Amino acid sequence: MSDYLTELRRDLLDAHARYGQRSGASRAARVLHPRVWRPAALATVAIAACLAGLVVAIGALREPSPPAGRLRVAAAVHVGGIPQDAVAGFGSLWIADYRGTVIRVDPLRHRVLQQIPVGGRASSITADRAGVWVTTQADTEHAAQVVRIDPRSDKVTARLPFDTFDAALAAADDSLWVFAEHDETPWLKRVDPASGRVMQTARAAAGSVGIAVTVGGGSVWTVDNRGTIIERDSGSGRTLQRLPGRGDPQTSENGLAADQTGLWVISPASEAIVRIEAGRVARRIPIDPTSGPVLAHSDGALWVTAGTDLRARYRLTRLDRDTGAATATVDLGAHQPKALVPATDGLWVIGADGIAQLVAAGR
Amino acid sequence: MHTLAASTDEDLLIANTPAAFGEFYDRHARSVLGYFTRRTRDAEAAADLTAETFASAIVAQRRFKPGTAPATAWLFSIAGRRLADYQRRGWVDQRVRRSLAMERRPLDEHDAETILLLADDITITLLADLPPDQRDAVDGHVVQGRGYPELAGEWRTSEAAVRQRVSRGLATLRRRIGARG
Repeated sequence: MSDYLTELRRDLLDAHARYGQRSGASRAARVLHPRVWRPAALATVAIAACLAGLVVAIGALREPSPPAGRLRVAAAVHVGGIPQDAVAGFGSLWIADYRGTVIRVDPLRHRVLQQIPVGGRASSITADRAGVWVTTQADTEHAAQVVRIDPRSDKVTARLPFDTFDAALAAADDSLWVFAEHDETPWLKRVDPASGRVMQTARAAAGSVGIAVTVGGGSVWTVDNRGTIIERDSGSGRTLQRLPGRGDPQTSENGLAADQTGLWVISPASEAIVRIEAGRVARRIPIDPTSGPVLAHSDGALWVTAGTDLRARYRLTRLDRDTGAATATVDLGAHQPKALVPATDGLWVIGADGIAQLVAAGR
Repeated sequence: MHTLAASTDEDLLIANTPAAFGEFYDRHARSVLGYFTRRTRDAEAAADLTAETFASAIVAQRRFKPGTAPATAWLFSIAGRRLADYQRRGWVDQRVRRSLAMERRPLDEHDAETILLLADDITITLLADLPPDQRDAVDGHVVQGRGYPELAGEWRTSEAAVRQRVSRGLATLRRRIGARG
């Protein structure tokens, strides 16, 4: 190993010397956010440890627990690409493809409608009344953009630059929330979707890394790589509560599910789904050690995936939200889940291999 | 005289010279490699990610501002981004290395083996139980990162003999740790 590191050191120092000799014009550009708007500062937020998370389907009012029953894969659609995240809206399923597109899928006819180029590696996606929003990474470290797609035309109608590498998105209550990820000075920004203006900014402590953001019940929730959960009022941005975490450094975006009264968070590192209510951990539901980090909350149930790439076999389990008991499980085959999206007739499981499966009640 | 070894990480980054970057690399390369090894369990991926991280650090160095994030946090933020890229794609991008005209360095079997050991804290515990010559060899070469010529000179033996002791020590550790998943 020391041979490899020694040789790598030599290569790096040679590269450093060459890079230093280049002209400024040929160096990788540092894209600066043009600052067309002036963000108002919010209370600063300290962020502590890490929880792994995944996709969220927002539950509304408390619903009765679903009846126990079989599940089946009702449809499988080859959407292609390298799916990262997905959202339902405007009668379609929208999938962020890391190759640089957003894939629009007809969930009823089970077919791809459009592949919309977004000009960068698409990562996080969300939707509101204004359209579909997706984060795109660029080739330089701090040149992410949040792009808006008009669902009437399938065209990109706005590009909002942000001085960060990547950002998680959430939208609700006429606000778009942008949470910087993998940034040494992370922040959370509230953006007016109509104008693209940043209305508020909350800065996190240096050294933390943003992982996931979600909204629900009048709150916006964030989780960082240390597992610290922060709840803010989605209207004022005021911090309502902060729960320090002890999490695992392994991180993922999609593991939060907010509802009217609290937050569900999947934590594969601690093998539990954690329920946060009234500023505290209200419950813990044990999960399979291979679970996650994908979670959804829909139809009064929790949905969690499990499996490992060692065996290339995955499954989706529905849990009773009140008891934590598994009420049904379905085999997803070799399609590693990246995102879960509730649908009217079931739940879409978006696979990392470009296969989207619709899971529905079975016979 | 102020030496690089006495400089803080932040000073090394601000200096922005190959020598200073080399010192910074020496301090953190193993930590970064261990970080990736524990998260990928793949020696090739961990090595590539380490290389891409430090290459990215060369490019990003000019943006480093002292007083914001500590230098190690800055470095591991870069590592986190490279890891996120890898997890999204399923393979390690060489984009930054290509932009710096760096060739990808392949691993030999020996390097791959020792990198994977970084993922196991138990390795250090088991090291103490090895036969003395194997323990000293693995400790000297794998843990301390000393080269074969140096160790051979210190022990007044051949490089081939040192390699053999390292190889046997690693084999013994493997047997004791168990099969890798």
